[in-house]
Amino acid sequence: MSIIKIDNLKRTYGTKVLTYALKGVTFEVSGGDFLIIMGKSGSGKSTLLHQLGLLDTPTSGEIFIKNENTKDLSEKKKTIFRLEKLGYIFQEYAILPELTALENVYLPLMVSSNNGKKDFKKTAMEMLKLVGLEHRFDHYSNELSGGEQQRVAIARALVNNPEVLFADEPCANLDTQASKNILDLLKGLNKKLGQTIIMVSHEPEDKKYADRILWLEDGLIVKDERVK
Amino acid sequence: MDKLNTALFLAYKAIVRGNIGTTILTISVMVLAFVNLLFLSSILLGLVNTMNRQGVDNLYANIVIEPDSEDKMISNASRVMTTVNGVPGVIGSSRHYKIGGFFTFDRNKNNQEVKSGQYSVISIDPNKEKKITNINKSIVYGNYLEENDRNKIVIGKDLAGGKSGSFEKDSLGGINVGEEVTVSFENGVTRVYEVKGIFNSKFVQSDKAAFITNDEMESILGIANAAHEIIVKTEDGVAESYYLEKFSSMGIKEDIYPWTDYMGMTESFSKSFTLIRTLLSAIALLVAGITIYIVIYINVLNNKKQIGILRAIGIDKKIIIISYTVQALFYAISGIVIGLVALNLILVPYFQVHPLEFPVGDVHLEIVQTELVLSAVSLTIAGFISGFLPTRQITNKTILDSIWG
Repeated sequence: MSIIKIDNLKRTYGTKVLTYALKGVTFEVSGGDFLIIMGKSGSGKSTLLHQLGLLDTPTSGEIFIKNENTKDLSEKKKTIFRLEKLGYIFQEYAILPELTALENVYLPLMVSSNNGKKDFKKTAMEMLKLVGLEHRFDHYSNELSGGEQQRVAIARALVNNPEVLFADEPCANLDTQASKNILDLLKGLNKKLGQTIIMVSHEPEDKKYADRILWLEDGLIVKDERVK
Repeated sequence: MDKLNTALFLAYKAIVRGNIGTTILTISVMVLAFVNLLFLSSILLGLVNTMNRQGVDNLYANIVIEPDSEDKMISNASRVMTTVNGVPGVIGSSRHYKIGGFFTFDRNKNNQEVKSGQYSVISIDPNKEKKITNINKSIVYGNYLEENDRNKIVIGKDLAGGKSGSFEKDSLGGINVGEEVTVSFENGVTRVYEVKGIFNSKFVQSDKAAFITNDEMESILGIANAAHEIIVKTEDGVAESYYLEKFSSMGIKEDIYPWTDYMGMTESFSKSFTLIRTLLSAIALLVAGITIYIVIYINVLNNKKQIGILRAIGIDKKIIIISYTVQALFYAISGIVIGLVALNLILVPYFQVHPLEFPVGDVHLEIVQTELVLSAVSLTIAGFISGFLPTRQITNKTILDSIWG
């Protein structure tokens, strides 16, 4: 069953001179998939992920997430959607430096209607344990390695049980071992929890983690590959 | 409630975990802005109040009774004084004769270095005067007058000269206690006086005058129990207008004026200073507001990426705006509190011990509570705007612009 449906998505930049980042992309993503979007630099990978993660607004086309047309969402509803239905991992370790690992993770729970009266600290602790950071609850970003910061970002992205987890080249700034650990973690989450993951990468070795690979070139899908 | 708690949580963490140097610098700017808002204004107010206080303490007391327009003197001065002294709230009264005198001082008595000039001579009942003015407390050389003193005179520092006075050229060139001065009065009588004391009230209007006893003056004028003016000292806290009405209702037919009517020069100073204070306060507030805005704006700009991240993970704009506004308010209120402490525990006591010396007297910092409250409220509002506007501006950008832009 498709969890995301994209129909003829276009994104242009500029006013006088137009840059066509996405020239009409159409595809669907099934629940539980680990989809990797690959392509050369400037092919439109990150732009596509930004549209899917509702961080940017497409010039035209439609994005349905769980059958909900995101085009119809108000700014406020998009914010709630990002908070409760989507998780996003940035290329840089986008965790807040003034918060501890634990605080970074429970921050989205503090405002989420999903949390009910649950103990959000306990939930955040469980999430940090899941990503192997049970010994780093009270550490700040400057006390964590790059890989550990990215794990905190993953725990934060997962803490609200998102429908889809987006990862924008999450290993770009990590060494080989740390990259492997992060990708193993994401794969494990995908397998164990059935978490739908859409990741952007330009590393050919990452292909082995994917269930499916979308190849982008000049803003268009040139190959849709199902990996066995 | 969740939103407010989250905003407060983020603000708290940003302040606690923020760069301590930046926090100190930001609060220091707020402190300076707040102190600047009040400092100059307080000095000018101190100057105005000193001028007024000096007039009351050295020349006019609170109320001045003068002969009505048809008479040159108040006759039966003792009756008037008994009447006014009976009014509750009146501390005391003192009658004065005031007459011009041409002073001549020939130190070597050889007509070689003669200094002379026209000055005002005021006569007093020395003991009664002690309750009314501060001349007796201002004696810096020699002694104050006594009731039975004749041919004795106390003169102001600016009249005596040679005592770092403000009008040295128009003075007697440095006459000392014990030396003699010849005074030719307007009515043609000439007397020689020994300088018994020199006073420094630090108020130029009284420091250019001379005092003799009423008995001495009455012998010059050939009258008794009269006065050119009766000055009345009243307790603090009751408006002079009350006594004006009271005295009139008790049958005093003479003209009655509050001290303010005699402070023509200082009144014009006062009005100008009030205008200057208002202008300075407005400019200082504007400068403080802009300074706070710039400081907070830079702080918000430095956190642009974090604002973008917060929005990307689904934190509502309102939470982010409240969080940064609370931070800005924290800086502003901290600045106000520290500024208040600095003013009240450092600057005001310092100027109390080391007053600024002006020709009108020693000037201290005088802070008006309403101005203080107004300044604090103004800075708090400036802090609020400085937190709110830049954060709103940045949260209105796209998320990607905030993160990467």
